[in-house]
Amino acid sequence: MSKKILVIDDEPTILVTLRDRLRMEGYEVITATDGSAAMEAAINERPDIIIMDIMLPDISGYQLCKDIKEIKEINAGIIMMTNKIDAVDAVKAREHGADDFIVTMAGYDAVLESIKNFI
Amino acid sequence: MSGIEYDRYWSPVFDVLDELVFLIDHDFTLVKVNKGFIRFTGKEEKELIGRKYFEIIHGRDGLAPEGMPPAIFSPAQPEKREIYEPDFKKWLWMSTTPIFGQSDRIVGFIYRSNDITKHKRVEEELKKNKEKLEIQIWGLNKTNEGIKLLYKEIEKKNKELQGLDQLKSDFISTVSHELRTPLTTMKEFTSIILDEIPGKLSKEQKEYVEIIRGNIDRLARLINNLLDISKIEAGRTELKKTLVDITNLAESVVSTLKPEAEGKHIEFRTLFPAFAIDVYADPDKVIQIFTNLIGNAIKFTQELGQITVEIIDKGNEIECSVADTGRGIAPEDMGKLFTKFQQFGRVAGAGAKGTGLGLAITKGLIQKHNGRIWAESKIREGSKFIFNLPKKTEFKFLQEALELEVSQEIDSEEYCTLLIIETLNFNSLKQELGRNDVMRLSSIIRNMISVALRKSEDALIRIGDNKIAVVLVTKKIDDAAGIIDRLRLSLQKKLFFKKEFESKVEFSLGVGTYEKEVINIDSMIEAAGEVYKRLTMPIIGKREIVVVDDEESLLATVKLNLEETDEFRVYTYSKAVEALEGIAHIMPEVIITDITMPEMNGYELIGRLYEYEGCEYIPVIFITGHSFDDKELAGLRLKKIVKLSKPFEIKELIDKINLVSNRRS
Amino acid sequence: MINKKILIIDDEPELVKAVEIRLKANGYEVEGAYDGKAGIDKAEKFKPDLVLLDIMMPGMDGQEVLKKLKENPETKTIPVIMLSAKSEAGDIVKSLVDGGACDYIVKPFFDGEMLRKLKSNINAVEGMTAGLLLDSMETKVREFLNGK
Repeated sequence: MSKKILVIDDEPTILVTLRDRLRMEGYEVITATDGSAAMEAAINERPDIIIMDIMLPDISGYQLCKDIKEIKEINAGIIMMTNKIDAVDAVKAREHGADDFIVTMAGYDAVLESIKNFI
Repeated sequence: MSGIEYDRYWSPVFDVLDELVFLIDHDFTLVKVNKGFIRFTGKEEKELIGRKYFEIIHGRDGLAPEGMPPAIFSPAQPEKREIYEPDFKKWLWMSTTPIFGQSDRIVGFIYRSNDITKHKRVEEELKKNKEKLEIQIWGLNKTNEGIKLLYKEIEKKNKELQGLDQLKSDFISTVSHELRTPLTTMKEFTSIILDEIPGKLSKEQKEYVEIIRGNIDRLARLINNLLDISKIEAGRTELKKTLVDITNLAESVVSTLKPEAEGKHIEFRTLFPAFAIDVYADPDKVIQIFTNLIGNAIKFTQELGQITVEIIDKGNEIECSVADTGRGIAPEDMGKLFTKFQQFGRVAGAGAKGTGLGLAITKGLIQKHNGRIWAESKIREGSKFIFNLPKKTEFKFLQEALELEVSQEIDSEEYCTLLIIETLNFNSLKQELGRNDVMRLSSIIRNMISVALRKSEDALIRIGDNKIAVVLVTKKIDDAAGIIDRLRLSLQKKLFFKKEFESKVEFSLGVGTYEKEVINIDSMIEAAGEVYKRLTMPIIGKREIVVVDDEESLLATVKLNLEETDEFRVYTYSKAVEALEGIAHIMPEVIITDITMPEMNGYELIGRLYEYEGCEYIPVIFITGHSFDDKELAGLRLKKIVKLSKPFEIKELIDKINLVSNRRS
Repeated sequence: MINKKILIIDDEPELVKAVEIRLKANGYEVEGAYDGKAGIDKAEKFKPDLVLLDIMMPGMDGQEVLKKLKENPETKTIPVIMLSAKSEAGDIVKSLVDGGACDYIVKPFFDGEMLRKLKSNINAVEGMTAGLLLDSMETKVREFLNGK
């Protein structure tokens, strides 16, 4: 059974590119562009993996991560994503319960690799 | 707990402890407590005795905590636990030991307890810190991974860029060749037709073919300009900077273009300083700049106009200007003057059309020299184009060139030899051969030298029209001598001149050899300064040589033979100590010294010369009948050192003297 | 008077033809070759008084041909003028200094340049004539100014 992945990012290009590439790899992908849509999707769709940007329009990605982790029914691995390279972000992500942390600066190939490794 | 007499021992033993100690019977009732217990619970003894211990300590009404089976507490075994007591808000370490009475029945328990609240707090702190650290480490690891990925990406992009760079390069050379080839053929055939070689042409035929020819020329110009500008933009224009006499260059361009100006009855005026001015620039490019500006001036000036070319020495820069009395440039066009493909005031008529790239190229070239160009103009009155180029002294130039050119990657075990090769009779050659031929001669010499060097680490720096600095890198100190010999031979052998006469070119070679390890560029430059000084010193009188050897007969022989040539004056010393003083006083051209001598040997002698100012750079010839200690030799830095084994012939010695000397040969 | 013989080695047959026409009209006897090997053979058989040699050719390039000509006792004394599509010093001077060519001409040729250079070099001894190594100042100026 293929894994279900929820991708959350408010940048349409990133969202679409990631979605398409993950689909090409055979994963089932759903998307959301802000915190509330993301929460809804997480609850309803019960994804296996959630990939989210640390900055979202309505809520901080970290907070969302923490909130989702608190809902035991959504038993998803959370990968947080950012465009910068800063250890502070990674630490903060971990503090909020994230399971993994990837950087998008190196291009989509690298991102795909990281995701695959995590899964 | 009757039957056990403990009262007597209790107080003196257990009341001195901080620990809580209490006895309970098989029923878990408190029978005896110590002062520690009383302190901890804050109750009085009479409140405690007779109560169940778990009521007091655990605040419970049963033995086991809620939900846990009592069986878990197996009182038959001693037990230790850590418990948090909410009533007291403290952590206790508790130890239970059963007391067996007759027939192995448990009659009670003794409890010991310690308040480990502080410990627990510290433990908690540590745990928290450990967790925090772990998160930090996790964060750093993830960041690390991100950086590694980024690095890979950068490498990939770099390769791509390099590929692109190569493509650009290839493109420029391919275009250069491919475009010019058909152009050449077309031009040749139109020439042939216009010269009426295949047959006579009618007036119209001639006119039309001339039009074709004019357009071929135009195409050729365009291709040249496009290639120039694309090279400048690709950063591919290599400037061969050297010290050039800019006045000379300007004059040449003016004289070449004079006939054209005269055709339009335009007068040339040149305002050049009386003395030659050396500028740090690429002479070809300077010619190109002047050609463009003066050419433009001619193009845009009508009949009976005047063009003024001026050069002003402004201290650390040179300002050049080309002014004309032509049509001028409209104020709205001034801003676009140096941009590509802009043409102004097109003059009708074939051949006068430009490509719009000239000024852009000129600006690019000037900027590559770290100069500036700008223009002033008034419509119908004329225009003035002004540019400046930085000036530099010859020595400062050598300094910078050495810093740039001498490879920083030379092995510390290698030696650097700095040569300054100067064409001595340059000025008389200039008069004999004419400026153009003499410049070509300089180029020939330069290229011969570069061919003789052939090693990638060697550097060749053109200091001026007649001077070249060369840095040789060799593994052994003597190898440089070999190369220099080869150079000498090739310089003397290869030059052929115009058949009408034969001229001899006289060279001087100033040489200094240094250990790379000790050399930083500064010391090498400093030494170069010394070499320079010596080069400019004329030879007055006889050449002074100092010879040091403990063998008196050798001293006598050498002195006799060298002075016989009438060229030398020889000072001899049989003791190194005396020689030191002598050398400091005489400052000879060359020192010849034996190595093995009592009291002070040759190596020491030369080493000691450092203490005498001005003596560090005197070239040395070591002579010995034994072998040479390369290590010792290497220890003598900044010296020109040459070895000669005994026995030797005077001719050999004289050759070595000439080889190693700083003076003109 | 025996006419001087010129051999031109260039991979552009049309250009070779143009040069032949021009030179013949000026009293020279001309032979052409379109590649290095043919050029060397012709040089041995034809024994020209001067060789015009293109630098950029497929197969054996001009510098290799020059080397072979100078190594061959039959041809080593024949003066060689190199033809090149770009006037940048580098390769050209190397072929002159190292290889023993006498002079060079840049394509497209300037008016009359080839005839002038032929005249100067045809009697040159082995080696170089200092008189004609790099473009003269005038030529350089012309080149920058216009294609005249």
